[in-house]
Amino acid sequence: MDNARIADSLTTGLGSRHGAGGALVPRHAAGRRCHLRRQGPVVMFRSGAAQSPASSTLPRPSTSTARWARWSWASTCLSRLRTTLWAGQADARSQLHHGRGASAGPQGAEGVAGHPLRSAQDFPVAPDLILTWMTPSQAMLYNEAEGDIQWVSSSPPKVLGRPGCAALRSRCWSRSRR
Amino acid sequence: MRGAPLAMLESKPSLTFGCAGMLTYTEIGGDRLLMVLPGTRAEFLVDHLETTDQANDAMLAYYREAKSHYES
Repeated sequence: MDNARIADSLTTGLGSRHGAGGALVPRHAAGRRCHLRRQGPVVMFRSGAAQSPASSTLPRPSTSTARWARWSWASTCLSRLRTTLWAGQADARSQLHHGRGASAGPQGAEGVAGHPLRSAQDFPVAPDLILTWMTPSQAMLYNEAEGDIQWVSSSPPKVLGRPGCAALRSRCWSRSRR
Repeated sequence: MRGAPLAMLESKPSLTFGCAGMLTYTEIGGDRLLMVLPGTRAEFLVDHLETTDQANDAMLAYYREAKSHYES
């Protein structure tokens, strides 16, 4: 399945007024070692070109807003996704000037003059992770689409909270022990 | 963001409220949850999302109509 269709579906396939935003993350960006600085592509998709995914008034998009850009992975945890995207913009601008890339961020990237965003269809790899942020009602739809709605279950789906970063470090630790 | 490694390890979607760190760094609004999906589940999800959406709309119409009977 091409990445544009994935992003389109996740941004437009919801039954509410609000679209979802998110990112497609390739495995190497997720990091085998948390402390490594990695450079990788990421697909950003969001519902409003000029609006933050943090906004609660995102309109439902009529066309794809999925775009991708190089992503400087310089974080010790995925929770810094947005920060690292912005941090990567200077480098992305440099790439753009050399005709090698594009730049995007989850907020206001289109507002940066001269930053063409490439279609998610051109995203070079299949994502290993898809991160989306959504309202509770959207989450219900996702959960149901995933087949996780169950009246009775021995292992009902969990909604996680704290800690976030520690779990990622735990994952890296377990890998390093293999 | 515990949901991410869990999604990768178990090939299952993870839903998280988001800890304070995640909300701070990503600047995602407090009214949003974070869903982490394994890429391998993308096709399945896309195929089912439209059907789920349609079912939800149908149920929503039914609930609203039924509620109107209580209100009248």
